[in-house]
Amino acid sequence: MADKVVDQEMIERYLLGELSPDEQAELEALYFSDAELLDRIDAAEDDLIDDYVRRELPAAQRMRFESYFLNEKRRERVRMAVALFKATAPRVAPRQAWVLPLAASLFGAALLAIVWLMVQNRGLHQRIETLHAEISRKGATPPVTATVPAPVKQPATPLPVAAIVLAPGLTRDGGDVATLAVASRTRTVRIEARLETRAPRYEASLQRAGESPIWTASGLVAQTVDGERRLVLYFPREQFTSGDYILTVTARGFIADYSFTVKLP
Amino acid sequence: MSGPVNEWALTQEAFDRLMEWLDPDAGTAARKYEQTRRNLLKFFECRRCVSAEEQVDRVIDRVARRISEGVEVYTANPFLYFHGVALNVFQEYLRKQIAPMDVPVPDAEDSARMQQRLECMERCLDGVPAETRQMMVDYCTVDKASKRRTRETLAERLGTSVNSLRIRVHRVREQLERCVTICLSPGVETKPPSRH
Repeated sequence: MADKVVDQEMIERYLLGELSPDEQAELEALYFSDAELLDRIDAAEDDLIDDYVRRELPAAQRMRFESYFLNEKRRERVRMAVALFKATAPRVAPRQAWVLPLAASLFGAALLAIVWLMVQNRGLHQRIETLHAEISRKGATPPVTATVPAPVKQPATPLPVAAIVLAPGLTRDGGDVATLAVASRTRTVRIEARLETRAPRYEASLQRAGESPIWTASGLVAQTVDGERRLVLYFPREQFTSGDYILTVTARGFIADYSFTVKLP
Repeated sequence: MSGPVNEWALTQEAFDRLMEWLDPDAGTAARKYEQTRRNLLKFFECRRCVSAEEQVDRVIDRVARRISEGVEVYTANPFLYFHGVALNVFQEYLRKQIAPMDVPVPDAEDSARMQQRLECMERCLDGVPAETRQMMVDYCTVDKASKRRTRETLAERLGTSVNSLRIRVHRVREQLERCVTICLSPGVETKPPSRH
């Protein structure tokens, strides 16, 4: 298989468990050495989920999807896809309910109009000839049709993300605590914690200073941002009120606290 | 954090040696390590392992152990070495399985939870740059029949290939899914996003 081009169909068959054991192992060996192929497999997984959610998978594939492809994690991704489709089509979804009946009505009306026009056709021809004769006789100018410009739609204004990069330690730069200013229109807060140790996964918790954690997570994987290893976390704005916070990151034999102050408008 | 169920535990020293084996350059080693984890996770998920993360840890621990114990590992491609170990770990996994696990069809979420998820998704979408949001809207609001043409047009507009576009969309989806997961987690108060 190494010399073959791995096409979309083969990737789908892999995801649905339809390759032979040898083909499966060969494809795995290929993507273990080719990050781009793994990216394509991820994208193909999205396509399968999308087609499933929209009920566009053929019956046989749908069965394989449900019996082989789905696991707990992918079930959650199916729910996410449903939410994503609804969120990206807020104006399309309600319109679908009346678009088809309206289109049918318009089509019927158009048919009636055509029949009526055919009946009137002969009479109109005679009338046009009469009008032409009158225009020629009086020297009149035919009317001009005016066009009205369509209204311009304004793009939605994006809402900003408040972001902060934290270094470990309860204070920074000799006592200055990092401050995260959250604007009134901010919806999401991104916190990037610089990591001074390398571990497969991390646990993290967030708390207001002196209080119990308001958020915890495990199995977090570091990302490389600007050449540094960082833990990148996203929170909804409503998670925060003005005050001091401590983010604690732990891994095997490692613990670090990151303190910061949140200022709301 | 769910650790591997192994007698041997990965130490910082063993982990450092594994990273050095992956590549002498620390940055390159980190990228290779991330790639290896992604590869292994896909491997075990696509082979329907119930505890894919645990099996990933098992493979990494096993390779790290061999290296830390001084076993000479000769391979031109460390990724393929991991694949070989993964195949062995998978065989062991199969032997321990009593019966394949049935995964039921996705159950419908209750309407309150679904609404909460939708509100979180809208809020998370609001958090991405406008052009990224528009890309997601254009990408998602097509049916299968017009999908190919729409993606070609969108890719052309963004100056990229259709494959790169799909991968880009996948990355945004991952980001959105992480954001929604956090938004839905207990203790996080969710309010309907106010539209401006």
